[in-house]
Amino acid sequence: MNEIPAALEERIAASADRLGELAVAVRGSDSPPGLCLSLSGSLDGNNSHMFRELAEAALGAARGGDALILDLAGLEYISSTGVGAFTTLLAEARRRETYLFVRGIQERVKAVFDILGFSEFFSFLEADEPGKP
Amino acid sequence: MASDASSDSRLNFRFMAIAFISTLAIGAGGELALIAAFDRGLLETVVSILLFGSAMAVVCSVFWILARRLMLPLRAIASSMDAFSRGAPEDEAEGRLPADGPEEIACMAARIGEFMRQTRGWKAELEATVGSRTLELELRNALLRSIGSSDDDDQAYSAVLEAMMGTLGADSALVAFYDELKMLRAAFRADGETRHKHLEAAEAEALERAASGMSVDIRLPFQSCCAGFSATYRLEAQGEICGYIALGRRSAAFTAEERAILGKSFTSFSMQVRMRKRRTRELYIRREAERALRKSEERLRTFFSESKDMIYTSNGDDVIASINDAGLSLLGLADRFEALGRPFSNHVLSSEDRENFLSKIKERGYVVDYEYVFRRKDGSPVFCIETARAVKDEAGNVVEIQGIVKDISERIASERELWKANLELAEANEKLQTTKMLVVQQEKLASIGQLAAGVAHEINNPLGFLSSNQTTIGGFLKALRGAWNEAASGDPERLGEIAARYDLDFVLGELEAVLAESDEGFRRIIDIVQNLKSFARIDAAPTMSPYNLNEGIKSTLVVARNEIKYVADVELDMGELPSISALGGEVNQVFLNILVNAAQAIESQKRAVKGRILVSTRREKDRAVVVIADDGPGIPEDIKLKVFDPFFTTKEPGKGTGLGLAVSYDIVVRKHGGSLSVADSPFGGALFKIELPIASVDSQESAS
Repeated sequence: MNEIPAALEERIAASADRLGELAVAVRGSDSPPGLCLSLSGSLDGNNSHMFRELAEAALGAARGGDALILDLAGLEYISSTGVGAFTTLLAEARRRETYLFVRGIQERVKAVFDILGFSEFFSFLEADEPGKP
Repeated sequence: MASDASSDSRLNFRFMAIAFISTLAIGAGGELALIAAFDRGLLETVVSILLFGSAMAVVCSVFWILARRLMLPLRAIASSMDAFSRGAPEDEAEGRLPADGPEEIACMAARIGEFMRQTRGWKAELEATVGSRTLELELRNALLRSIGSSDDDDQAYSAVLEAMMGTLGADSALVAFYDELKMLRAAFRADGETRHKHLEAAEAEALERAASGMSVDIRLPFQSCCAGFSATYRLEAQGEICGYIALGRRSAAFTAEERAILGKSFTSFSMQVRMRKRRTRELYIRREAERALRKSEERLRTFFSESKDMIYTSNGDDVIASINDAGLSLLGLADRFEALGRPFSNHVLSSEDRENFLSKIKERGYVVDYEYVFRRKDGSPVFCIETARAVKDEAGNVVEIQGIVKDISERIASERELWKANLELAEANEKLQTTKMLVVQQEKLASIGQLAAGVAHEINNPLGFLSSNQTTIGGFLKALRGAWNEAASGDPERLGEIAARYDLDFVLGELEAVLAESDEGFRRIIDIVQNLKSFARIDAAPTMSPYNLNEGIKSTLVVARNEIKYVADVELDMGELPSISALGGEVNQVFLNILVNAAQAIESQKRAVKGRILVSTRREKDRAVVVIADDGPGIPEDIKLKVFDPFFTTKEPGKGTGLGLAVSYDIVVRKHGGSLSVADSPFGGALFKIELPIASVDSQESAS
């Protein structure tokens, strides 16, 4: 199990109010190895920016070769701005040469990715599927 | 007077009649007395009768005289009073009162005369009071009637003007009043013409001065049509100035009495003007409110019907109750009844999204910028954003949802393009990094190829003497083998002789020296190969690691020795530096590029004496600084800015790729957060300054 940087945990805890209807938690991941951000609630124009900042901090905290996994099993609603935040995050991950996985996405949330035409850019994992960077 | 004479004669006649009747009565009495006397004594009786008759005649005469003296003044008083009661003038009525007569009667006549004069004064006074009161009432009545004659101020005050002028016989009049906008407006009439206008500030001031009894030093515009006003009043009620009234009359100035009547009438009229002013203002405000309401309703109707965004209402069960044309268009519906009375969720791609929306609006009472995907009638999705509020009943149940839905497909499309471009850019950047790594590798390979001859030469020297030594060792070994064979076949006592003959002491001594020299040769070869390997290391997954800058420079100088040693002497001035976190192989590449460039620049001068390259290192605060200066031809100013551009080279074709310094810049600046600059060397050539941050491994990784 990867170690979670204390600074990242503190930052996520401190951002809880500004995230509004979105709850974010961080944990280590063995497969794929790296950090996992669990999202639940709603990701919309009100909290996308804050979420992106946290996720970029998580990207920065991931060690070389580690991946960032976004667990969306609890995410019930996403707006286009939320998808935009995901794409920006993915671009940043590529710049940092860090793998980014999306795990356990709900069908209705995935539908937004599909309609916007971004599904092909992301690596989606089932809820219990191990990642293979 | 004729009447008085007649009355006087009638009175005289009455006295004479009374006297005659008295005489007859006395005579008759005497006759009766005579008849009686004949019965008693005739003479005595006759005398008695005559005496009695005479006495009676005297009495009657006296009585008549006295009656006449009393009756005449009384008759005059009666006549005077009769004339007074008929309203005769003073000289006719009071003039008949007797001036003489009995004292009592004269006194009475004087009192009666005085009473008559007093009564006449009272009457005049009463008549005057009734007249002025009548005028006042008429004026008040006229004003009251006229001010309420119309809802229109101008018409009502025109009527007031006419009523005043008619009642007072005025030639000109003005009524100034505050209209619904609280502006002082005047209705004025002169020469049979009524006009209206808003008063200027100076005109209002003039009216105020006139009403205050002060002189007016400006000519009011409305005075041009009349002779001016002789009476001006301020209409004031409950401390509030409501307007002004001015009146003009050519025939006669207004009397004090008239002015008093006007003052009283206008005082009560002020209250009516004030009430009218308030009512007009209220009416105006109400009319304005109604107009605003109508406008608002019209605006809302227009807003609803002509809005480019969908506006709808749905009931508590989220069944659509109303929808505008834009909504029909957004949903791809041709008929309003395809939407009305149907669940809103029919038109949403994910009913769960709508349920989420309803849950939020039920909880908060409103939802702002809720984004979801609508499904048009043809099935195509459309991105929308909705802002809505809930109308709740007293129990807190949602009874109506009022929402505005905006189609944001175009915005989403452009954002999607942006996001896509960002992703594609990241992908391209990833590819570029790979390509760049290959280019760097190629540059390294080029450098290695360029250095290969030098390296071969470097290796060749130790190999030369190693080969020679090997030959020598072979000869020595052959001699040793012969000596050994002889020693083994002969007398062991002859070993000393054999050893002397084969000079074994020398051979063994030389053998040690040769072997030592060979060791040095092998070490140098190993060193060169090691440095070459170290330098040419392929950074497949480069990671920051502790790196000794001074050692890196030395290692690079070994690799570049053959390039440099024939053209320049290298001077080292190494300061004390801590180990830094760096990509060592790539930093070495930077040093090699700059050192080889310096050597090639010096060589290009084809000079007789060797050049000079000074490599110095030092620490400046939190940065490690390496300066490589040469005394070559230097770099012209116009080229200095280009030397770090990719594919820029001043070398002849085939000698440079133009990537060396570009790659060096990338390594130092982007990968290490340092700086690389070029300047003139103090020896006349070029000077390259490399600065690298001295930082912890963690922060370096974060920075990368």
